[in-house]
Amino acid sequence: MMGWSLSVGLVSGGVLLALGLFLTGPYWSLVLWALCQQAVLAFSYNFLGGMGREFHLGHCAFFGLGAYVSAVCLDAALPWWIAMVGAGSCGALTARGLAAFLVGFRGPDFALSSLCVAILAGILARNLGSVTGGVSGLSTVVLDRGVPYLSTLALLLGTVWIHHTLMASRWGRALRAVGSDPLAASQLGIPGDSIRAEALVLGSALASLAGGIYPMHSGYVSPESAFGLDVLLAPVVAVLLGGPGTRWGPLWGSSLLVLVQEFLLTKFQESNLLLFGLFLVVSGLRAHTEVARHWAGLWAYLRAAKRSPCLRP
Amino acid sequence: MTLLHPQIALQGLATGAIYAVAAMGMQFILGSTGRVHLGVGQALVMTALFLGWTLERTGIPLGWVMLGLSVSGALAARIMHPPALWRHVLREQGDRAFLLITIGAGMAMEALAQWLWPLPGMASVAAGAPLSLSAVFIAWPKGLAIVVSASAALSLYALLHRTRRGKALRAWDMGSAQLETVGVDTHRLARWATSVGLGVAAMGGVLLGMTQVVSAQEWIAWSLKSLCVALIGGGLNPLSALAMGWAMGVGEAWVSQYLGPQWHPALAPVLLPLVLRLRSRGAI
Repeated sequence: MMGWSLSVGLVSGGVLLALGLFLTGPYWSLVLWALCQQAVLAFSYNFLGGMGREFHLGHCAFFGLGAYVSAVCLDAALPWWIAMVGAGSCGALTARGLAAFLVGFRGPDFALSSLCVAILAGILARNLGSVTGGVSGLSTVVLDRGVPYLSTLALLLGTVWIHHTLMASRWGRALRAVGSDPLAASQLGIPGDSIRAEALVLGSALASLAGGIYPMHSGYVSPESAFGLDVLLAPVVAVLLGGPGTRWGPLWGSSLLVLVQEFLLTKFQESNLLLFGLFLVVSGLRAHTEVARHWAGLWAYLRAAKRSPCLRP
Repeated sequence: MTLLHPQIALQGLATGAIYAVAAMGMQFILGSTGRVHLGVGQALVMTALFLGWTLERTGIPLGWVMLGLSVSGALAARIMHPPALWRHVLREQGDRAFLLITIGAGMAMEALAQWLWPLPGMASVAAGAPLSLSAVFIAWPKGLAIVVSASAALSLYALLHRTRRGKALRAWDMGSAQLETVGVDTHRLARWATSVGLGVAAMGGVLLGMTQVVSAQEWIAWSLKSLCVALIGGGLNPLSALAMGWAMGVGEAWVSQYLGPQWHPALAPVLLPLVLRLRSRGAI
């Protein structure tokens, strides 16, 4: 039942998004594309950052890595799909290598160590000029907008399907158990470190794939656009807004984040940073009322209302 | 060829002094409440920019300006961190909310700082003869930074070990529930620790403004650097923060000399995970 409703939801959502991407004007299609990219990053963050309850501040380092690998491949005149495969596999392999070191940390130590990985990645991108183009970055060929739009859409739908399927699986329950109480989980025989390592590799591979699409659309990648603070924090903030570890929280959170940022950028150009900062403060103060919980509450009310006549409006 | 030229080592020590003072501020909040306050860098940068403006427009002596700005930083922190905030963020999972709040507040203040000081700046302090130690010379603001960092560490150490509030802060490490059982109001204590921590960070801002060119966008880099030094120092110990800050400054000078100046920012993010891996309570 869950599989059917999910498939129908994904297909109809995909058709609506495709129509939005191709039939709206250039501005709204760009906003929708940014929203899809952000949603992929938020869903991929939700594995370890939401279900695993780790504060994975370095998640978007893999987005940057994917962007650079893809830009180098495109620069070498390789086809776009090889660039994407290269970005995804490079991200997964790097995450596999780092997992051995990172999963030994818990809580704040994990957050800071993963942040250090992201900062180091940015420093390497700035200083290894012969490969990365240094501070000025790499310019690539801009592909026809159909390629980045459709591949982002396919990636989003695939990510949501993987996210939802794994969340309801034995693996997802084990990851949540490890996140909630690592000691109790280990006493039940759940191999916490290996499950966290798998979540790290899976989330990183998806983030790298999203990064692989980025230079195809923008035609440019630089240390600031790949490893900048706003890039690193965006999925963390989106998942915090939507609700960590929830099914649709990453989607609501990233939609809210992208739309608020766009609104402030277009309507309040002078004071958008000030207003966005205040928005984050208010979100932090209201952190216990995430968007996903509102939606879950509304959904539960509607289901109850359907069953009980006295609750019908 | 010497391992590190004494002149470069002394310059590194002066930069390390600023890291140390900022790390002491960070440690005061982190070591007691267990919450990472990313606004520490903003206190540093805003004070550094405000110092230039104050010295340019008023004729107040530097010592009074340093004292005034530190006290102002502590008072501003007290106003901006009401007990209700601590009731909210000292709950379970409140660390994430606090991080979001401090990032947001930092961004909002960056916008304000960009509006007030759109260009990078450095305070023009009165010129004086450089201090000399045999054949090694150092500009007096940098020498002052080293002395102030050592004095701040000793004062904070005394505060933590000789006063009732300081002892309560150190006891917090054992758990807030136990502290509340013996009648300590942890929310008020957290507010006090934040005021002192950000006041100390503001003092670091005065040293920063005297010795380096600074811009409004640098706050997050300073927050992260002070966090790294505070964590490598470990615990609630100003003397370890001082030692690690100085060591970090000298280490960066060494990296700059041998690998090039573009690699010195890599030292802290390389050292921090290694130290956490080997000793989760810090290097000292």
